[in-house]
Amino acid sequence: MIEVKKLNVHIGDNHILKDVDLLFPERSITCIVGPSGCGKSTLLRTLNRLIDSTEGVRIDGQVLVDGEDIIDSQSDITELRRRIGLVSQRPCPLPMSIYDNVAYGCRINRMFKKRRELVVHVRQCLRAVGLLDEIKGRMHTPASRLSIGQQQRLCLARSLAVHPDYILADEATSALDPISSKTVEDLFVSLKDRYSIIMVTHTLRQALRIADNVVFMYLGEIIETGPASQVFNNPQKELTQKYLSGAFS
Amino acid sequence: MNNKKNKVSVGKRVKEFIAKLLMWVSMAVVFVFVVSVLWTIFSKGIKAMSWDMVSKLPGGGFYIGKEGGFLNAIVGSLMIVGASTLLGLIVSVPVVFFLNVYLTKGSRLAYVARLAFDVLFGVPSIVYGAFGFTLMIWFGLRTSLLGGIIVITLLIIPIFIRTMDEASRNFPKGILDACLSLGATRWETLKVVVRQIAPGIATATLLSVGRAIGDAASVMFTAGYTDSIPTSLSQPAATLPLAVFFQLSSPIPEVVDRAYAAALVLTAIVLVLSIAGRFITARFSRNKVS
Repeated sequence: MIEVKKLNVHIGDNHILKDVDLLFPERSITCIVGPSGCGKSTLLRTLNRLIDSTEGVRIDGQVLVDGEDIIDSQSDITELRRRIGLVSQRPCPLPMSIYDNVAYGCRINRMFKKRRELVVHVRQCLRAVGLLDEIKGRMHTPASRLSIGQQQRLCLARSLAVHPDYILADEATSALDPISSKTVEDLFVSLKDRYSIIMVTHTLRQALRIADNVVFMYLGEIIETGPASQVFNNPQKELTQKYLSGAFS
Repeated sequence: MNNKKNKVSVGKRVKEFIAKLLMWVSMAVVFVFVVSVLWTIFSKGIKAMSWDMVSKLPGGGFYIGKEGGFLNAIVGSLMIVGASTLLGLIVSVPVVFFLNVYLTKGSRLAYVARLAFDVLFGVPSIVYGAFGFTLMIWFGLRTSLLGGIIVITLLIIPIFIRTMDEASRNFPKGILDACLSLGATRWETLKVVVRQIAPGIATATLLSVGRAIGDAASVMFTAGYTDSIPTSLSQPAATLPLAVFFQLSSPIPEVVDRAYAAALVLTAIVLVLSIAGRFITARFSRNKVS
């Protein structure tokens, strides 16, 4: 379980996240919604400490992943990142073959001693995202030749390959066509029994379709959070009501 | 109204025509220049070119027009260029990696380093030669293959770094994030970075080799010149640019022709390397993510 306590993130003089307190339930999809620039992506990048590479960043507060505070400088950042997979907005295949894309994470984490075990694992991951049959015989061709939708599923397979506990998705379907978008969405739904998925989305309809829980953010603050049915059907805060009614986006 | 419209479009067409004409003229100037350089070298060099020239060492009377060839200079050049390109790559790749992966965009160190490499890029090769010469006196070294390799390596490192650095500027940030989020340390992303900028590395290598193989000033004081092929790093080594330089200043016409033959070989080596480089670049670009 991921628990965020009194999290404040500053980038330079900008106060991006303000006193964020959150609990991300396990084995479910939590969608973070809110207008552009409200800090959704910053929150996501803080959860796996990718935010560290941003210049002038300052983080205060706690992010507890299974009870361990990851903001603490003593924590093993590479092991943390392995446990928290990331699917970014634009599919970002590595400059190597389809096979090597999935195998890369396994290799750097020294997950398999025998090559044959790795091959079986890579095939399993590709099958899990429905790519194996589509790319039959093209496993060793450059990943950049796949369609954008296929590339995004490859990125998901690559994340699954290192056995994460959590998957972060940053507007993972926004660059895709409607059909690919639906395929990826369905994939996330099928994966929620095994993984805790935290998804930033700009599309309310998408959140409505797949979210179990919803977090609504505005100007770096958490305005409302709760089960999707409650937030969408019976929002407690005026700002949430306005956002859902389309008064601003 | 209609007339006015037509006038504007005529004006535009004239501008377009002039712009196109200027481009064609510029293209033609460059093309004529390249062809005339190649033709001069070829027409003058082919007279003296023979199998002996590229397969034999200079004989006793070679420099007064008698038997022998300039194999010493060909082998010397290839030795120096091969070794310094390898050394240059070994030093430059980690520097580029450090500048682009470890340092942030606004880093002062990165700014100062890039400025320094720009300055070094522009330093004339004779200055490198003089610097190398001073170093060699300091360490008590004589003109040698090692001296030549070190100075040429210093000469091409800024070319390597700046060319690869430019290629890395467009490196998709998402690739690094993807690697890190799989549990890679920044060092472990090196393999991925190298794959992505492989075409840039190939271009940098081509530029460096071209500069290294054709430079006479820096090797004059450091590698020296000899009629034999060096068998150790401490022996002097001949190079093709110096073979051209020495023979071109001879009053004997046969020897001057041999200078052009040496220039022809030098040009042929650069041409072959460039074509090979293009193929290799295409091969490396296969996996590149745009």
